[in-house]
Amino acid sequence: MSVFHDEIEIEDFEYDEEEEMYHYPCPCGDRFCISKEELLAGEEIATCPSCSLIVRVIYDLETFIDEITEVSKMSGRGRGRGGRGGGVSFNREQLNAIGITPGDNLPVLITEPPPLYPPLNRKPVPLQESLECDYLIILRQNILDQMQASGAYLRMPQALEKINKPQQEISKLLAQLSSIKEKFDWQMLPAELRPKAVARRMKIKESKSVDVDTRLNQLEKQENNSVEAMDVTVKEEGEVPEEEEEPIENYEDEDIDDGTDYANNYFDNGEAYEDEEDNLDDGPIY
Amino acid sequence: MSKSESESRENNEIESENRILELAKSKPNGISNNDIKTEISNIPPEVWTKTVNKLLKTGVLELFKDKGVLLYKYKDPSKKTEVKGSDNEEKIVYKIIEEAGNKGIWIRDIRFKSNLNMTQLNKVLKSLETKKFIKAVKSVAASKKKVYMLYNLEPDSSVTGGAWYQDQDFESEFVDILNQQCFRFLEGKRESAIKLGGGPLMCRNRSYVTTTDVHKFISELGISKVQLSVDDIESILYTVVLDNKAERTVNSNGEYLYRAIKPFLDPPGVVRTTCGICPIVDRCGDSGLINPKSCKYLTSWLND
Amino acid sequence: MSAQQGLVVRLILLERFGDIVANVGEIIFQNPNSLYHIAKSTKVPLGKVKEALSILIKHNLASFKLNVDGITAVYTLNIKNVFLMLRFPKFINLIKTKFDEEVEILVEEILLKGCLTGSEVILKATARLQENKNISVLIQQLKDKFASLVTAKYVIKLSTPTMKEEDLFALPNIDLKKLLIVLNGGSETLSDAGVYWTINFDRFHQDLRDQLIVNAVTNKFDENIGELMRILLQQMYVRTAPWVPSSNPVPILEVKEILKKRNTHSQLITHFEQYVNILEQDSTGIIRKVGEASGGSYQIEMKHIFNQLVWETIEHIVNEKFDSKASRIFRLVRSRHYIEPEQIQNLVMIPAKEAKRILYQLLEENFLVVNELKRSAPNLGPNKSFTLFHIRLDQIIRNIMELCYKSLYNIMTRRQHEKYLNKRLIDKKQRVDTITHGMRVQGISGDPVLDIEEMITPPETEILNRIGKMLQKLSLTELQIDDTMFSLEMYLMYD
Repeated sequence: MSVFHDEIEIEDFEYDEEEEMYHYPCPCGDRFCISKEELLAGEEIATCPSCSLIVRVIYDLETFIDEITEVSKMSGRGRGRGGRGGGVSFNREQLNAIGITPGDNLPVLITEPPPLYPPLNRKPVPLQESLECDYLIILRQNILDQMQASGAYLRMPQALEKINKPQQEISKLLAQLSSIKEKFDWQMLPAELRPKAVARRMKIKESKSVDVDTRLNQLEKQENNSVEAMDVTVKEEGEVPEEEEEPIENYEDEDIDDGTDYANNYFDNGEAYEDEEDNLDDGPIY
Repeated sequence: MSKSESESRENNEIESENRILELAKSKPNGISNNDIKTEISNIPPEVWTKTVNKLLKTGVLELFKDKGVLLYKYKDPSKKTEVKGSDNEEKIVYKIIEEAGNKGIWIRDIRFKSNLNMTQLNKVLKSLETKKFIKAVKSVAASKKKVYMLYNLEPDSSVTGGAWYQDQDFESEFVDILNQQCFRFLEGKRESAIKLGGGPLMCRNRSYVTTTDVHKFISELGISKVQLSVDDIESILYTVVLDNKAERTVNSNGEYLYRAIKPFLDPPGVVRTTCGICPIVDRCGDSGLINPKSCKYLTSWLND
Repeated sequence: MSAQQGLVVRLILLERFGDIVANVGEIIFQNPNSLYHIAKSTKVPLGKVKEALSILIKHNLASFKLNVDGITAVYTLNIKNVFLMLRFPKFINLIKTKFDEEVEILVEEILLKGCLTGSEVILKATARLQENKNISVLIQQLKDKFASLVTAKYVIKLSTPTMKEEDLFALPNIDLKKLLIVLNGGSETLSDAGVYWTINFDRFHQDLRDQLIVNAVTNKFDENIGELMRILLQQMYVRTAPWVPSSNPVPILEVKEILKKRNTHSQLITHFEQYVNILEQDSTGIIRKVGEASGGSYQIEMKHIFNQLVWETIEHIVNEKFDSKASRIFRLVRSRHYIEPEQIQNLVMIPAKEAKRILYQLLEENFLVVNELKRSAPNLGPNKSFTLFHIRLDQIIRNIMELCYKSLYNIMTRRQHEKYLNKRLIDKKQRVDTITHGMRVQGISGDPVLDIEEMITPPETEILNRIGKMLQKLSLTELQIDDTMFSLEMYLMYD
């Protein structure tokens, strides 16, 4: 092993990006050089092309690799030379073309994490303001107020229990007001959406209007159903065509009347959904 | 071998030398073996090949390879003297740099063309530089990128960047000011056209200006230290067009005409909140440190 | 359909229909679903789910497809209509400017209920307007006004599979006598029961679209050309269906006649031909001359106009999101279609390094894309390929839509949060207001009222004012983000 002319820290070398070479002036007038590849391979001797002098490069291999990979990560280049980074979309050439050269991005030492919200260096354009805008805001609020006060604004039953007693009573009373209950034209909706109370009333109507034979048949059917505990949908299937002949406003009136007990059903027994019991109870009505 | 035979061969050789030189001089892009064969068909190949070799050795002809075809080029002996005292490598490198003209050539390209290795090439370049045959010029195209060109050449504006560069630094403030002034001029023209009245068409036509008009205005303003050409102003005006503050049309003489215009729309609603211009919107979610409930940008915007 | 969109849908429903409907809406936003599955996923009592679905269907926010059994069904959310609820204030305002306050109330009632029969609309409006008015005159007026809404196609019959297209705007049979009986507390079968009317959003959009164009043209040129554009659009409908990309030719003399009759823009009438020329010769190509006969006729290039407007919208967004240099680069790439980075640097006159930074930013946020082309000749060295920048408009529009959803979501969430934080104070204020209002109605004034009002301390008043301003700002933002979405939607409509 020959004698080193000197020991130089890597920071003191000049880096040439095009050649990926590090240079340091040599007393002979030329420069010592060592390539990035050599450094990565662990080589630490920089030679002078003109004379025989050599210098030792002082650097920490790991930090050096970190820095280099940091740069090549940005360029999507991966560790291997010329290999295109797997999932990354740009290769070195493209980055060069748009001007991102490895040297530009050498990381700076950072001692604290970046701020969560980096300073916003501009402000959004001020909102448009006009009388029309003011009016639109009023209209918007007005619509919301009305919708929130209407029967279409549904609250979870559990939520009702949480609030204090008098409030709860008020809400219940409110729910009983006919105006507050959303009205539906059941003809426009799938049969399965009808509250059971409505469906029940409809059945009464039907049973009044149908002749005895049919009624007997139905009762028979009903019995079979309750024995076999058949699904509610099957039962309703047969009723649909008849229901649709009913005048609509009757449904609506009934809906209003039934609203409260329908609501109570659910307030009392929030768990009872998917429960088939109600259908079996239907029996005595006939 | 008779005397006459050897004489005629000598004649042949002299003739072939002259003919080939003539041919090479007439075609500065170089001649191929085929060219020689067809042009001097009366001279046998073994004779002219000898001549070519001799000329190559003396440096009168140079050998190039283009698309797999060998080409001989004539080399002016007067230029040859410039690299006197240099070795062959220096000659090659000098040649490559000379070809690049005043646009210069990047060191990596020299290396590819010369096939020299890095250390060798560095040495050659350094020696040529000290002998003042060539010089290195920093290009504005990429910072730190050096290009080499012959010492006596004035770098091309693509290298220096023209009027917009001061020591390889782009004077963006200067350009911005010019951009503003150009727009101010166009805008003033438009306003005065409206004031002048007349029909709307006349108003519009009066608000058009030519580049020369703008050039005159900028020159009279005296804001520029350097002499700006009409083309320079043209470039600035194009940036005004790109800013959507002016439109450009061509008049009957093929000249560009410029006119200040207004946009169709105001900035859209979505950029009227911090969310629309938020730099970290991609990291914003319901859970996590960056969320709309505690967003600092929204807070300061709402309290504005 | 994106996840972000779903979050906004939820918030829109929550604000207007409460959490049950919001939860149900959220489930059927993701996938069309059956009643029982919805009940299971939302953990809401079945009865409430039924009610929620009925509400959604009634408001045209959900649709259903009956299964073969004719009873059960699969429910789907009408996402578009959910977003349209943000636009309701604009619809009402539009109707108010175009008609009068009574028509405004008719439209408002239908918007609030989703759909109503003609008689119901009139009953509801009468209830709101009857003060100090002769009721029988009022309902006659309202009936006529409702008829004019139908004729102008602002409302449309709720279509059923059997309905013919020409019936969609057939006037309903409204029996005023029966209405009067109902108003006086009697019960009577209304003559048009079962015939439901809903808002014809397309018609409103058509008006909003025309307004947008006229405003844009006024901004760019002047009021005269704006007026010219307005009449041109108006005359367009004489011969052209409302949503075709390029109108049938409009004879320009017709427009001139109308302007002469109105005689509101004297400058425009004097220099009519010149104004038409200016509009036609503009590089943006809003109208195109297609015939020379009778003074010339012009096509209105709707598709082209919205293409232009959407570009400008995006340019504005680039300008605000990044800076003016970025929008300069963006416009350059737009005008050149495909361009190399070196050319960009030279033409935009921005320092190389900054230009690269901006290009990278634009690339990162997908405002630009890169195409790499291999050079044809085998070439050693670094320039083996070209890198070309270009713009993919469809992709940008998708991204901006997402940005709108995201911003809407954030704005709404923040509003909810601010309300929640100050709930106690807002409730207190509400109670005080109710009490004082009640007292005033009872004729009490002076000290007792002031005493109650003083329950809100000055610092509290200050906070309330601040919150009020904040909420207003957020609501205004919501309305204006919707404007952005509207112009993008219009572009997509013609795309």
